[in-house]
Amino acid sequence: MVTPAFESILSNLAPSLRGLIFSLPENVLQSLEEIRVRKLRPLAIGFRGSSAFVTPQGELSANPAGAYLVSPEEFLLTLQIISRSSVYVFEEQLKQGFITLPGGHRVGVCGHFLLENGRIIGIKEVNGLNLRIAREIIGCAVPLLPKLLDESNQIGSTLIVSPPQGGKTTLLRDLTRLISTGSSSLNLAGCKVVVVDERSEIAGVYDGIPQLDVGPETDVLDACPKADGIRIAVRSLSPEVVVTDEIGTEEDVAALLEAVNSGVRIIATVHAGSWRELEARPSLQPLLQAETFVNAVLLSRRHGPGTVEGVVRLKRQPPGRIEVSGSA
Amino acid sequence: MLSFKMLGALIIISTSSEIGRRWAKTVELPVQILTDLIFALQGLETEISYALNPLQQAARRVAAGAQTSAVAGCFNHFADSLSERYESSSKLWLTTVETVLAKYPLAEKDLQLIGRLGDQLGLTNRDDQVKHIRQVRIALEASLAQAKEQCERYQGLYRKIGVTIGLAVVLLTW
Repeated sequence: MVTPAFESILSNLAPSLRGLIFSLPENVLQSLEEIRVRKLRPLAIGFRGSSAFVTPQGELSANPAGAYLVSPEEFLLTLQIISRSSVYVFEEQLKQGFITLPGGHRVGVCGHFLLENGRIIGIKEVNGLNLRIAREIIGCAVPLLPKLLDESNQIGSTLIVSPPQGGKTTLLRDLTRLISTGSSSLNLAGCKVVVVDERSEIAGVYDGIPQLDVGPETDVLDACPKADGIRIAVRSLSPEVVVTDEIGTEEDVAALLEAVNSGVRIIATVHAGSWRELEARPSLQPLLQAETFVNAVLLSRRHGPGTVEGVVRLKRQPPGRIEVSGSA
Repeated sequence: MLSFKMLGALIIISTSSEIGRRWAKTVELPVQILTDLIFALQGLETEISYALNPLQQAARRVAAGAQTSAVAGCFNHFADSLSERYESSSKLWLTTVETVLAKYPLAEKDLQLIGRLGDQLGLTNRDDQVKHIRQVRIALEASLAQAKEQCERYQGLYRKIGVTIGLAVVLLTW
């Protein structure tokens, strides 16, 4: 059955494209992850970790030759619907290559990027849109939460390590909701949480309102660069926990270290296929060596997105090496 | 008897003068509309470049600040039509111009010029939007100068014609 939330994302497509997607088999619709609309190229979808082209008859095909070609008019109308005929309103988001939709869904935008002094100042000649369907899985972090509590029954700083599309943002969002709400069964009081949501993926803020449930005690710094956001949060919002996604640069690491040294706990995610890969990233070394995180959650796609491979406790050992112990 | 004749003559002259004044107003109306439209485009530019309001809200605010019913009606109609999500903004603007502004005494070339505003409206970044709106505004300013010139030339003429026809009728029927 097509849910109203699902219908709301499809309403962003030109009517002809929407009709084609609606005519796909029910089981495909249920597992739809993304819709790729490219100007003068075949209409494609992503589902269950794979992709396929959509034919003019509304069937799936692995062959692009027989697929439905998106006309320039259909493409322009889709862009117009997505931007509410106001592309200029999304200029700042477009510099990062996406637009957030009501419901927290996101549209990746491809085109010609404009640079000034090496920095992206805009995008023109937009030729591709990737509608990514946000899936909120309420309760997916419930089994994980008890494993992240420290001796004083407080949430410990946690690093979620995951390959791309490993379900880390979904897990992070639900963890944020649980930490903010608290849990009577775990005797855990709700905490003041600040989400630094640089890519608007965690809370899916649209028109200033989080579209996804991140808890009652959560403030969101939407579209704010991570390093700046972490400093702003610590300085002015007195958080107990700061949540952020996809750390990676030296600035992110420096800001996280400052926050931890200010007594704030951190929940963050990072892209890596394994602990070994993570250790090989030079920019993250200061974090790993400074006892920043108490826990690490390792995710994979082995049994689908969000497979927890292990929860490990991290301890610093002299002279600064990380010892990994514990299990899933 | 003479006083009746005098009264009749007075009625004829004042009626024809009023007709002349109304004709004169028809050449004044395009000047008023074009002036208001130029102000409206300046407002739209501000709404887009500084306030960053979505097009529908921007159009509504521009309509609220308009001085003539033609411009207010035009932007309100456009804002209403933008609720129809599955039509391009350029087509919606053209329909608005044809539905609302075409009812007013504007030259065909001015209507075409105003229609051109819809070409890129809402579909590019702030800088491009501002450039596009300014381009149409500058062209409209040239049209306004022409309309003012015509207005000055014909306004007095129509008033004089009105009075003259009234006098001629009185003299012929005296």
